Amino acid sequence: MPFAETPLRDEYAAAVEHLARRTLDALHDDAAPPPEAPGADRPLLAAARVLGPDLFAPRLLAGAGPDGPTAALLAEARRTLPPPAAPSAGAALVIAWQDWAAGRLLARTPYGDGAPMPPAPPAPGESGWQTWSVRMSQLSGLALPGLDGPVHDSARTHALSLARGTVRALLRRDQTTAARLARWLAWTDAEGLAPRLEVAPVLDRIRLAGDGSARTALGLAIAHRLLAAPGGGRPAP
Amino acid sequence: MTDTHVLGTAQRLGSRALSWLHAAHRDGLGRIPDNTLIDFADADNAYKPLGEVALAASLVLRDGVSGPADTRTARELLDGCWAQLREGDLLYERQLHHFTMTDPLETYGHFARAGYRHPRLEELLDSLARLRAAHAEEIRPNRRLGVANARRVVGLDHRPDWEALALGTWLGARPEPWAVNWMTGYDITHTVFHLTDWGARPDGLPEPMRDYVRDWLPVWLDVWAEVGQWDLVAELLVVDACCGEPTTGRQGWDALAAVQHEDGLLPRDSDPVDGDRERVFLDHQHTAVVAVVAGDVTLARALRATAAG
Amino acid sequence: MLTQFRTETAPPSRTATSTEAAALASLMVEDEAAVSDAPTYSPEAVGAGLLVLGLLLSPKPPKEAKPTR
Repeated sequence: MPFAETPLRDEYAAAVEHLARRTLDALHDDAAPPPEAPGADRPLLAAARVLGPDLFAPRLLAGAGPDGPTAALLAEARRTLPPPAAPSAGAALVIAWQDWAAGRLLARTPYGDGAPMPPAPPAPGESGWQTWSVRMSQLSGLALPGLDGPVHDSARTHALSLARGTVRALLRRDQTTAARLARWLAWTDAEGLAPRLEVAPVLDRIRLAGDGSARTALGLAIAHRLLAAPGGGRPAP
Repeated sequence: MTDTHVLGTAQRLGSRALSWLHAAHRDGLGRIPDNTLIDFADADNAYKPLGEVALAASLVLRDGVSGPADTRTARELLDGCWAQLREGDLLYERQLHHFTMTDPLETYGHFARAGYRHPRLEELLDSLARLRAAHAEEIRPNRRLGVANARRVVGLDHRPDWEALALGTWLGARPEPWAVNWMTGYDITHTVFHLTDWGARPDGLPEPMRDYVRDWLPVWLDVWAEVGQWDLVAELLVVDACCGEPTTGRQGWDALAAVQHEDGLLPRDSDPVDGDRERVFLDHQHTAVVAVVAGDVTLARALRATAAG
Repeated sequence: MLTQFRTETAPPSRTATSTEAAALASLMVEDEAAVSDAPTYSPEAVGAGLLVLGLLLSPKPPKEAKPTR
């Protein structure tokens, strides 16, 4: 998607890195992210909006529910920053699904606001496995325990397209997209469905050759945890 | 059932590439210099491409799915190439002197397929095949398959362990599909070519390897089409037709058709096509050969499938 | 506690502007890399493989090696 490299975007991107790093630390410590200092500024709210469901990853992966302080931050972010207008119908659908996922998790807290369920994304047969897999990479934040819906069904049904998308991203040396798709592979593995591609070597490759961002590191850490989950980690056929 | 759109594109693309090769050879390009030694170390030497043109033309004649004009063109190309090899004497002399080299056999196989025979060369090859040395040469595993297939096509007595040979290749190892690179991409295509004898024996590809290729071929095709590696894309389309019902659809064919020039030239990659006619011929003749083979094996496979009901 | 943070500390003039919405959307929906860096010919990867004669239908290396990444 074309976007101007505005100073504001840089500022928000830095905030995303900051919040992703904190969430990653919490994931390693099996804790909720530590509370932010009072007075959450706008970049932090934007970062919470961007990371959405991933803010709860440390809790969800530990088998716990969303925690109150994080829910408060996310709810505030959603209140202050409404869903942005998307540059395309496809991007709008991604944002709608991200909102739905955040809403589903917040519904388990006092901050529930119940986002409506968007229409199911097009299947690979309609849009081609390439476009479908890029869309799924943008929806990788939904690959968490405790979330389920049509997007997840799509990942279950189209295991080969998921694997092909991952290989395609790796060969294009787009490690960021590859990391997001590998997270879906790990999620299907945790669901007890053997992925069509060995996941562990992919995660290792991205760890060494990836973009080095905290956001990608968080996605990778979530994928590792999914693989290690009961039922996960079986070798590909 | 292969998409008729694909079949139409395959037919046109291959036929035009064949015409382009024929016109170049008619005008004296691609000739082995008379009365001089071939410099085999020269990347532009005419010997290897001659064998490749013979390969493409021999498949057109073998499969018999082309129209009469293309069949005639293929025969003329083979006649011309065979004449340049002095009816096989050049291959014979090279094999006699460099008796562990495999390229005379591999080149001869394509002529033998189309009925051009050289009995003294066959006697020599038969004798050499009995030497342990002939099998000791340290060559790449997919070339070992090429040699085995050439012996099969020529009809030399030999019983290679096809499965062991197949397992020795990159494809046989079925590596992580994202670990492939440009060169190993060609290793994969060649392994499929030789095991299936250019599509004539689809069952020659062991099933696990076929499943692996069918899983990942659409990815490789997509990735190399995006960066305009047309030569490799065309080889991947050959592979698709050698493995049974094609899996990649229209994408590769439409991309190649869109970049083929009016005169039939198919650029090897997305770089500008420049230089004089000879330079252009030297740079892109390989891709033309691949295009002819791709069109031929795709049509032949579809016809066999139709015949089988 | 996070519940104590005060959003009114954000400058009131900064309601969600189009610039902000664009920045947010671009971070929420990151597209794949626009340009593929897929492997192509490189002398290191090819090594001596192509110099060996007889590998029929093997590609001819481009005249000038492209810059490798």
